[in-house]
Amino acid sequence: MSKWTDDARRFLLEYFDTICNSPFHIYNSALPFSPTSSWLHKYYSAELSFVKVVKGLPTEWGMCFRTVFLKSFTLALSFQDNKIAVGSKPGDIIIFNAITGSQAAVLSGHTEKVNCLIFSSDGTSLVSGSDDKTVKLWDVQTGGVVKTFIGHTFWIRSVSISADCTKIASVSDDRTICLWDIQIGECCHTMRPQSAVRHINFSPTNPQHLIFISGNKVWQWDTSGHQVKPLYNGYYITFSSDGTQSVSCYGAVIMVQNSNGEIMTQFHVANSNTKCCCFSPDGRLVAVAADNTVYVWSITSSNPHLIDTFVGHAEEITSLVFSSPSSLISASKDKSVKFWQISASLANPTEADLGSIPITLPLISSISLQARGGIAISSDVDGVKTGDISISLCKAFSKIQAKDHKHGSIGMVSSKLLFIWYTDEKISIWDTEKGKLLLQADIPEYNVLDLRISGDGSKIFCIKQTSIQVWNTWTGEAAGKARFDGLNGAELLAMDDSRIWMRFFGTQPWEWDFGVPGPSPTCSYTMPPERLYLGDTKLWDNNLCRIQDIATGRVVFQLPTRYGRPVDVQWNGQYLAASFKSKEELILELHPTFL
Amino acid sequence: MQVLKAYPDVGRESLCSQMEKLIVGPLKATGTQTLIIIDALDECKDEKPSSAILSILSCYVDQIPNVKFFITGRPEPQIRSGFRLESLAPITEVLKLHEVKPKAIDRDIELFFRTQLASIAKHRSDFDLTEDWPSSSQIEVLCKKAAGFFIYASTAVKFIGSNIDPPTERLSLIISLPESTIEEGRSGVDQLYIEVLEQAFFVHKDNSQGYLRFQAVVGAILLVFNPLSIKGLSELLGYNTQHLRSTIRSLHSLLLIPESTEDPIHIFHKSFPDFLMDPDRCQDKRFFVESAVHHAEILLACLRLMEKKLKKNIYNLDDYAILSEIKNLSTCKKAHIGDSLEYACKFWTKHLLGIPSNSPYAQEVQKAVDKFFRVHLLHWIEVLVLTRNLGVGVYAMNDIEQWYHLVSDVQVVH
Repeated sequence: MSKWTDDARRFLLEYFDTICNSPFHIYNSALPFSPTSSWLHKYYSAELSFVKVVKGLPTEWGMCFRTVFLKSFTLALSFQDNKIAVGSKPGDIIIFNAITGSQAAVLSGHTEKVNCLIFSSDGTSLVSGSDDKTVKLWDVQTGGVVKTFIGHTFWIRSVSISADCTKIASVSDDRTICLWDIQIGECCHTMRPQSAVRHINFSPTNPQHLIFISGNKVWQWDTSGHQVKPLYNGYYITFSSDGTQSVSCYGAVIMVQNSNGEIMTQFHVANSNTKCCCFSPDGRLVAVAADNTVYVWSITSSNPHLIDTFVGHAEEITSLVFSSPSSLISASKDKSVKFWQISASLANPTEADLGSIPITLPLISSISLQARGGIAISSDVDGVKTGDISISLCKAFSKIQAKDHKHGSIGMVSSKLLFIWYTDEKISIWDTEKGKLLLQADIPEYNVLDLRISGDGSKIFCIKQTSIQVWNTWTGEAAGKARFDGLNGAELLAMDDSRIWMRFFGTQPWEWDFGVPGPSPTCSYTMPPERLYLGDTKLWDNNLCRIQDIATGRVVFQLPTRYGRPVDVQWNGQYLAASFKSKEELILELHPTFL
Repeated sequence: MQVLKAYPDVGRESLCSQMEKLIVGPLKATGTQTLIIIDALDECKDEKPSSAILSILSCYVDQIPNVKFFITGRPEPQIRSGFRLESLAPITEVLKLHEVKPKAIDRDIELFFRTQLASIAKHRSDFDLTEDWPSSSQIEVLCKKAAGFFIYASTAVKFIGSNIDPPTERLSLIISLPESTIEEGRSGVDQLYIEVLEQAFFVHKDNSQGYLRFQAVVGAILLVFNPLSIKGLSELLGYNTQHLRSTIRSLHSLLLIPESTEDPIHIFHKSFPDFLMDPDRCQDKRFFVESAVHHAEILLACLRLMEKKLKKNIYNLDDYAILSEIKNLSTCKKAHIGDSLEYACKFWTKHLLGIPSNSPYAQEVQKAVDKFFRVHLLHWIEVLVLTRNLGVGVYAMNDIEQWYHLVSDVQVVH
């Protein structure tokens, strides 16, 4: 039964927001992406309606089991009693239910962005600091402000609350540290360190001591004697929940110390851009965030070792907390909060775990496919592979050797024909069934940025710095030309038989209908976002990663959020192929009745 | 109403903004002078150090000076500390009921008996008005039996006023009940409850099916996590509404049974379920409600109902319809899901947790749960989406995991 509850929970959480919108997404969007090892895949494949994943379906659930999107990115995240608090831009604090990831409450009171917040250890209160120069104490249960602490003259950077809930410490960009007495509501001590303070904590062992970060050093301020002393180098520091250990990061070095300041463990992470770190509730794990990545280390044995590497955020991680001994929550500048599952094998690490290194995936420069016959192509550094995508033969790809040439883009013309553009100014067209070269030609242009072939194979598009040129594939005759003087950084987004969509630096997508007679193309800067027409009734919206019904505008299929936006999408009337920044590739089969 | 139209989701917002939008705002705008009564505050489920309702009141009470609050409740710690909050303490007047003189209470109860019984005598056609009923000595006995507990008085009056038997007979019955020696007040109520149940049960005396139904229905009314209507209960338990109504008809002094089959049945006083589910207090095996058995029965009923009714696209919606587009969502819910199925989908795992791991039902339950997962999991998720309860699904998985964990522990021991 634990297999069922596990699978069902992952299913609910991963697609929570999508299926909340419409029950049809249970069958159209969520079910097709249930991993092959899940019992949903095993017992419910008969319920699949229109979309079937024929390539790229993972065998297991991913490490990220929930992604919550925010309206603006958050710098602060705190967890207590199954509640997550997130600071947001207009000044609101949003409380999420940590079990379902759904929004539970909004605390409004700050007038500017909330930069920092922290729950008290009993979970009843929350302290927040904002760009509105105030620190607020909230009653979590009612959502009301208990007290507002006024005195700082500039943005608040970091706040902390003492374990006995009598004192609050705050640091501001006005370069002061304030210690507030909650009962009186006033500042009882202030201090002006030499350089800006980034982060502050109460010492868990001595409530008189404040630990703060200033000038890439960890400092200790004894508020009773007003002594300040530097301890060691550090960019961020935090304490275990029992207060016996601290962990600090400084570049790639992570240091765990006991309350006497003795180093218990020290290790290096792969990325030196570390931003924050935290202990698991049981003190056995340390999670470190650096750029977009989270590293989870086990620190219990004499030999600390990496357990998990979480990759999935599109931008820098701003905050990190454990929500249980086996799950972690991260917030990022990509405006999302992600929930991660820590590997189950954690309890007894094996020798293999200790020596494991991240696998580097081969670089996939492009992926595409056409053909109702079910032929797929993909390319990587080894060359171009073609294969039958019916599931049983999925892995039996035949290879077209392209090793000697560096290829730029490839495209399937029909079930038989394959088009390859080599960046050394050549194109070739192959018969994939026979593995025979049909056409090889030099490109009559220089400084070509990108070269593509239309869906029916009849036209070749050549994109250059300031123009785009169209030829007839087989005769080599020019079929159209458009100039875009004054625009830079042309990027080809999509095309069909009569139109092409492009984007330039700082512009909206740009549409050219080359089927329209006349010497100049019609340009428009307000075209709807990049899209691909799938038959007469549906279209693929590549920005929002979903299929929409053209007539009603209803979303009929939503790609799981973990994939992000495809870097390349192609459609051949039956299969939709997409490749992603993460090097993953997907091929979806859309049922004909759907279109 | 205007507020609800402007903020349809106000029910999901924080207590603070609910208070502001729904209570303080309108009261401030109209300047109404009024008294707001909050009864039995201790029955609010609330585990925080000071009662949420009181904390929130403390924030707003000075904004609505024209409004007085009358709050009752047992002096639980969180309520006492709530009243000690800075802004509440100076404006609170505390009346400690347990310190009120017993005589004053007895006087009130006596008055209650007199007026209520007189009104029964006046309104009942089967009554000879010339008779001096009730006599002063009868009232005196009643008051003694009530021993200061108002719930006794109100239950007794409802029992006497029942239109099944003549009130005179029923009153004599109560008067003749033996006096109990231990804990006068509570067991006095217990005696009364037994008497009410005897009378109700008398109907089913020679009818074993009726008896089983009686047990199942009373058990379900006591154990459901959200009150159900007659219609909801009968669908869940698989009885027709006529049978169900006649089964509980004679319990009207203990249960609030609405005329409409679609309004929920409520229990008048918490002491009734407390009594029936406590084997020490309710020693009569016929009436005792063993929660372990009834939770299992209700769970199996939930699973049976889901098995019967769940299906793909239960609302018959157009392809790809988006929930926010559907205007008549509540009509759809009534027509295609109904209270009983909604209840089953939302609460079945809560009943699962009420079944002890060594229960004789354990195997049957496991089999039914397994089938649920293989056949109806997605349809169940669909109903959760349509009733806006998707979060429940995640909690439900945690419940199931917890129960199976207990069961597997027991099996390992065996």
